[in-house]
Amino acid sequence: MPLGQGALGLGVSYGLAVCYLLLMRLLGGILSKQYPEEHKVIWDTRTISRVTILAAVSGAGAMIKIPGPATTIALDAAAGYFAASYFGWPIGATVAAIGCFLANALGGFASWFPMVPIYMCAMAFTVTLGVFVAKKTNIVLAIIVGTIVNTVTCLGPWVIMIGPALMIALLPSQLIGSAVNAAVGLTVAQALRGAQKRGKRDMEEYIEPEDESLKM
Amino acid sequence: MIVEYESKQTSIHKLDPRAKFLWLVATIVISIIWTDPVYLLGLGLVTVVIGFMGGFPWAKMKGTFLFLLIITAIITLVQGATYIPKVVWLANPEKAAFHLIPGWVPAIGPALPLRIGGLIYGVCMALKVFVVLIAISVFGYVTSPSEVVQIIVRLPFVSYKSGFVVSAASKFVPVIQMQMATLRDAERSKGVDFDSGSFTDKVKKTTSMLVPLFANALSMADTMALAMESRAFGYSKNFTLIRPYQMRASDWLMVVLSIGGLAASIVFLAVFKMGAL
Repeated sequence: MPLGQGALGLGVSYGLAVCYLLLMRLLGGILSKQYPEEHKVIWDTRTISRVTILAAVSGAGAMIKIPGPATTIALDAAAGYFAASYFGWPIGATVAAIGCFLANALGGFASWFPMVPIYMCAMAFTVTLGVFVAKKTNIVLAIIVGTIVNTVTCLGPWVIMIGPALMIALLPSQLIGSAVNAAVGLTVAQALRGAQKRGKRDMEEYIEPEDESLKM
Repeated sequence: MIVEYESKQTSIHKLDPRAKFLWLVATIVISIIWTDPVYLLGLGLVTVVIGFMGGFPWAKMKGTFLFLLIITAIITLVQGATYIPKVVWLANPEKAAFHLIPGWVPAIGPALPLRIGGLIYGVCMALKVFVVLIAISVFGYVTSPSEVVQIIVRLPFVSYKSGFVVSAASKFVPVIQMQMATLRDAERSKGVDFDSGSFTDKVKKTTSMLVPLFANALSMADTMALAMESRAFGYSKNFTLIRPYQMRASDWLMVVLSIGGLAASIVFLAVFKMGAL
């Protein structure tokens, strides 16, 4: 029985959003404890500027449209996945939440404004879970889990409020959109990390012969 | 935003951003708690009047309204077919208004009844969506983005750094969009056609453009951090505001009307079920 778009339905949905945040904190806590060098973040000026620029990328990503099989797909969540994988879950979750807000704001809050805080919490939780699974297993499984969880967390409150009938129609586009965002964000982070490692190795190889020639 | 901010000299534009924000919050909360379409229609009318007072360009909303009309019509039909709410003032909410497959269709008709209670509930949900959309669009039209940031920064439980991040990020969106356009042109000059190929091909082509975009973004973030540190950002927990606001009589009137309207709607709903379906 749907609870409606009134105070009851929205209240339960906000309760669900609080659960997303608690779960995010739990998973994030484990990541920070087990991988402190990757997931412990100091909120200095550099971190704030990174969050700002990546949130802007997320907002601009909402305007990158890829024509998909069910609908057009926007790359608004990719920056969140990227930030979580590259800089740690606290930055990723913040970027995902603020990016979600910006993407909705630029679209005119067409998907009912009171839902935006719930989407923000859902996105923050999803990117944290995605990077948690990627760290514990592999990227492919992280993409699958991220896709399913993003779809469930974003459509779940609507199912509570207006029932599953309309949500079934939205399911394909939501699933494809979530999968593409997770895949793009995590892959780009891995590619950049790989490039960074290669760059470091090249630098070391470049410096070494120079030193040898000096010795000779 | 669907309708961008325009600097005008209307009575609504001149209001203090905090008063306008309170009106927005009150409108959204009232639209959530009310479930009676008549009351929601009244709330919508008040919002439209405020929009007219602010010189809102309604013609720009035509496309969005049309799109939402289709979506909300589907929602209304789905609710009519699947949901029967307990209606306070309606004697027989489960009564069928009409059937999607009428009685004259041989063998299967009449089937798929659309019930009055569900239809009214669907209309009420559609009105909620419209009221909130109009209120936000009017607010965005009469309040400049920098004023919105000033409101966020002044919220007692929000750090000024959060306000800075939201403000700066919104200002960097066009910069990132320009970079994206440059990268897309660079890819096109190499012969990449973004419009051709299968869906997977299109995703791959877009991803190849995103790697340099993220790399550029990180370099931009480092430059921005240097600029911020050179201006001693984060040195002190106390911060100053470039534009101190002062409330005038018209601002206080808006605040009183918003808070009073919100309180009255909650009390009347709780005590007399006014506004309930």
